Amino acid sequence: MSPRVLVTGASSALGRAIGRRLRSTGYRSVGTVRSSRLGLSLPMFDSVIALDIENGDLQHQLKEGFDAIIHAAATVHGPREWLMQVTGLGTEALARAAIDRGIPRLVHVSSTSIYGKVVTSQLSSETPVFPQTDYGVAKWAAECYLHHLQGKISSVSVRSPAIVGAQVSPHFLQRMRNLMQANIPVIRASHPDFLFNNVIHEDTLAEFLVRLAVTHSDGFKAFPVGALQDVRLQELLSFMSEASNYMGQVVWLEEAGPPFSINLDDALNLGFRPLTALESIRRWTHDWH
Amino acid sequence: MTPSRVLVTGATSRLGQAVGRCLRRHGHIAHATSRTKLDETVLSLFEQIHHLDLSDPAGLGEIREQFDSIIHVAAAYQKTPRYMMRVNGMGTSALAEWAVSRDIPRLVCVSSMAVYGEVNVDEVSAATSVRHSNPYGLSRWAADCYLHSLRSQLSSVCVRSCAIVGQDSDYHFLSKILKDMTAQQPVIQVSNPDFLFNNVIHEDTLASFLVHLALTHQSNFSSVPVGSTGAIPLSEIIGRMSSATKYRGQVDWIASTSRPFCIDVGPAVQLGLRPMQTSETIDRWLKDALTEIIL
Repeated sequence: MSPRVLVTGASSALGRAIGRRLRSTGYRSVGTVRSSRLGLSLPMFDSVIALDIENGDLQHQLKEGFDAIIHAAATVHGPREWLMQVTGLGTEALARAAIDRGIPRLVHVSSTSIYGKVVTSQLSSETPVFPQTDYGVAKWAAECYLHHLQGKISSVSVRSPAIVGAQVSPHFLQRMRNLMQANIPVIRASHPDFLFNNVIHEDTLAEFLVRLAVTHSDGFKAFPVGALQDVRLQELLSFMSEASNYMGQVVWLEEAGPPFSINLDDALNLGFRPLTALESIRRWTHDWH
Repeated sequence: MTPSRVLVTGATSRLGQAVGRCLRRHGHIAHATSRTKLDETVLSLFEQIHHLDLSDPAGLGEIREQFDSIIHVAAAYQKTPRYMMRVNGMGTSALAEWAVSRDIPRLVCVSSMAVYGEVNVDEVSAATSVRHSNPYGLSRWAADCYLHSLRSQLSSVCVRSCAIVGQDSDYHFLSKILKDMTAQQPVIQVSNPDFLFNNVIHEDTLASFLVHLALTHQSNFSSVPVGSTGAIPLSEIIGRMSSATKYRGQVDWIASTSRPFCIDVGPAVQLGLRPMQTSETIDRWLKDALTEIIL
């Protein structure tokens, strides 16, 4: 029998991408959504069940066993308590329920927001963390809970930068896109010559998450992902400019903190197959039309 | 000097009482919060006690008085990850937001070495970065992050405490060994005999530091580890404990599972910590603890 994988946050753009990837790989899939969204059509999943992660009593909600869980559900907006309850403690409850059901592996979608203000030129799994947002604290909490339970369930936390694709998230590139599509006359950015790689396409991330879900590993690992460096930020933005028929002008500012890129070594060692930054953006803009 | 008005959370704890004594000695006006009913000794240390359970911080709304500073000692050490996060993480966040709403300029938060997670350096300093920690350490670290996010409105300092020794302090490994020695257990197992140890602070030393910070701390946000000075080998500490308890059994030095580390108290000293020597801390602790056991 092919592996059977549970995907939380199935109705998000990333969740759907994971569902498509599982299907194309021939794996069986069950997606979870909030009970309030149970009617939603998600044909890329074999079936969809309700799972309210913030409730804490997930043992009662999760009634079957799986070969792995890909945990993409999280809350980005809302008060501090709510973010911690869903994104932090929800992950702890999910891991405990998984342990009860004998599920051996959990793949967690984390975020580079756990690092906070980055002062090094390259982000890696060893870079010190100091989350500066409530969302970052909640994601870090999720990682700590998984780290603490590593003797009972093996897990990996994949720290994602800006995800491009159908998802609309409040990251730098999305802001640029919005400004360009609104034809704002002057857009400000900095570091034109920086080889930007803090981006990942949702399909690239989904492919890697599925790969991790069926790869045996012990303990707990956490590392960032991103794109291969190919072109300068200036070229990426002019590409987006053309794709959005932007008539205004990008003005490059001098200041802002030093830019940082993402070290992909740990992810590459586990089979990550990154796109280049330009290719990630190209696929993203392709979906714009 | 005009007396300051200080609110101390967690008045039932040993450290909360030590802070109360220190404030009283210096003529300051101390109020306290407590989750449980208090005995006479504690009541005598504080001008007023406010009932407050940090797992339900709505109780903060009942406190009407104005304060110059808060010393936040209350914390949850056990129970579930959820409960510890609610009290230590969210409770501290709510306390800080309440302080901002009441124009209280300063908060001193007692944190823990547990925030560092698995330490992979020989000496923990203010620059040591945090790694994945257990649910308790995480709940304390979340409090640090939330205080940091409020730094432009509230000056706060997180004091990362190692083992606090004093009368009947039970939660660290030295006090467990001491109990086994007084009970004359035939064999006691310890690791890392040659390791230079200073991860211990007397409750009165820590209380003085907290009070000093509550009256003087200026920067937006800082966090410092504390300990004693003059690290001594762990074998020497065990030796002192052994002779103080007239221990007749055998100490077995076994291989360690975790990496030992000591603490750079320099940054805390710069902020006004007046540490004792490790040997003096241990001797004072043994004197107090053993008097109590004999009584």
